[in-house]
Amino acid sequence: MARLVLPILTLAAVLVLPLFLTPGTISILTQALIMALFAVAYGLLAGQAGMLAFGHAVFFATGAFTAIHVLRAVEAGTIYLPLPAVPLVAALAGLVAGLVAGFFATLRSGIYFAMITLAISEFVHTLAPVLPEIFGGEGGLSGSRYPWIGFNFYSEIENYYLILFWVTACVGLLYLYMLTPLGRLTIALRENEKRLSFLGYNARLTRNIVFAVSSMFTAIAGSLWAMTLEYANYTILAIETSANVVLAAFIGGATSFFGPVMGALLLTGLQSVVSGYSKLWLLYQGVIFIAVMMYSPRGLLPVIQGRYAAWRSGEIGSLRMALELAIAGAVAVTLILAMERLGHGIESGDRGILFWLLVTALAAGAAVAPVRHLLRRSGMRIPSLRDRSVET
Amino acid sequence: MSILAYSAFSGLVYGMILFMLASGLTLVFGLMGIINFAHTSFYMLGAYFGWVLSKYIGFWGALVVAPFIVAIIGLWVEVYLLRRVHKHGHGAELLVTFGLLLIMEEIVKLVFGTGYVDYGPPESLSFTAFSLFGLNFPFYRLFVAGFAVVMFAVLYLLMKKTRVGIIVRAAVRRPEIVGALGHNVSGIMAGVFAVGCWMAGVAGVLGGALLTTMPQMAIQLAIPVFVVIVVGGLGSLEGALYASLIIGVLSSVAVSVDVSIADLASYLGLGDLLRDRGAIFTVKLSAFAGSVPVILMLIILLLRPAGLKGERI
Repeated sequence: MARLVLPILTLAAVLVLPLFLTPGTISILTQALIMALFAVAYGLLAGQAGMLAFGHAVFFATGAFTAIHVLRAVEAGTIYLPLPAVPLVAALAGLVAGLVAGFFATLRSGIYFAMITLAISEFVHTLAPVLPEIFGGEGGLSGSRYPWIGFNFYSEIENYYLILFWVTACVGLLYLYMLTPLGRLTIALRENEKRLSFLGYNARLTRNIVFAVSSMFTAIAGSLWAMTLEYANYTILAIETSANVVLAAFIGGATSFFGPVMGALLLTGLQSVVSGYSKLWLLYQGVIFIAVMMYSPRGLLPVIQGRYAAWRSGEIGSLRMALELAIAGAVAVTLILAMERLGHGIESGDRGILFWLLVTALAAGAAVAPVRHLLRRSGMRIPSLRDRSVET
Repeated sequence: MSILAYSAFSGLVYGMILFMLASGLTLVFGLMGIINFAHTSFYMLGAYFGWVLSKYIGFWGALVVAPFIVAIIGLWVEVYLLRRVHKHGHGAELLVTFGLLLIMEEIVKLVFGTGYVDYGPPESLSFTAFSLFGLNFPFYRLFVAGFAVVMFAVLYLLMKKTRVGIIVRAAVRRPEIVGALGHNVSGIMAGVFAVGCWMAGVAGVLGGALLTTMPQMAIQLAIPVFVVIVVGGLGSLEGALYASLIIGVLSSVAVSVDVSIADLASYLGLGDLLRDRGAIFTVKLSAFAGSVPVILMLIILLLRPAGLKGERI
């Protein structure tokens, strides 16, 4: 029963809280939810199946442009589909795109796989500007949401609940997927693909299927994104989109199921706090990412879970736990303040930024030592990128 | 025809720049088993340092100093970042280099601005080498290509004929045994990484003046360079050379092809049919030039997964 408390509380919070928030905050929350689904779908591939992909932007864009084309077609009256069902079409498109792209990508594993996915994404990215009928050219494509049985979906909050429904449903489905035999095979792919083949499974086919499932849910996230903005432009195919999801998934912890959710919420939250002042957001994101990969390659969520478990089992006392929480909180707040000041200072040419640079460096340094200490105790694992075909 | 020949020549030069990057990357892969996503970031740093330094100490001074600074940064990255995450597996290393690629672009934007900078060939090298069908071919391009050829020759001899080369090649194949024989394998790795960065720096100083020096140059060149080493065969120096030239020439020639798919199809009498089908068939093939490397890579992966000169799959 105790295990259910946190999920129920979270669900209650995301259901009730928006009623008291401003439209601006709701739209940030909506973005965070979409990123969370994107990151979980990516985490399925990169974390659970151990297949590091760098081109998920292409599936996100598949979903986004499919949704926009459906919205436009409904507007033009050529087809009719209830608005909440639009992501279903995107899911289908994402599944097909994932099967095709996955066919090429899963020809090889390891580094080749990573590079093929990146290359496929860049391939579509370079093609997009010359295909204005599909991608809308420089101006992009727009299509509006439309009413369906009593809901008109015009306001932020109605859209929020639509997104919340889809994200919860998809994350739930993915969670159930991990419990199915196919889900166990997905983990087996990461742990030992060769043994999987010896056991008589078709590893290549499994990889292709997992790839397609991941891109299907990525496409749903993309369609939600386009439906929220009522607009899509080929710039979402840029490497930044793929990078964002890699960063979110691995900062949170790609090998744990909810790690990517945490990473996505954390990054979207941080971004909304920091980037109001700062063009440096991407830099911070990169630095946080490298820091996590250096000192906690399993991601942040497993570390938190580990500390929580240690406290529950009595391995560390409550005082120690409170102290650790206080230190972590203080470091996080200092870092955020420093980041905000730094961006503000650089924009206004303020000399005081040097002082804040120093503070940032010190805070980062202070964060490193305890984190390292924590990590030395916990065993860590990260998807191995060795080319399995040469492994003996 | 003249346009084709001219762009083929330009493509060879572009290919040689690709080769300067790919050779370092492929050596590092052979030794460390990782693809350094940030490799073209070192190329970008080389170009920016070259631009800044050439204002103070001239182009030749910059050509000597800038790659050296880049190599030191590379050494720092290897020793303080990559070596430390090595124990967490190749995945972590790859992700760190990916993070570096993003960070370096942002730092360059912060320091040098988001636009492109005015970095061109030095006065002393800006003259016409020869005329081809009435089009002037700049000497600077020949110089860049020549420099790359010399670099390949030196590198090739170093790897095949010297003791250092033998040890490095042995470390690629059997690192444990080389270590057991008393060689410092992690030192070799750091050295090769630094040399790779030095070469990327040289490519940056030379290529930055020829192509455009801007914060996006790292990501733009990353894809063609990765394609080169996959097509050439990971870890193969000769393969990288052939693949660089093929991709350089193909992408350069593709830009100057002034026909569309529909035009080609009209030879078969299908032109009008396709023209009605939509934009994709009426777009000039030159618009697809950016996709040439990727298409080539997919073909190679399907037909010959080990690459042109790769030894193993």
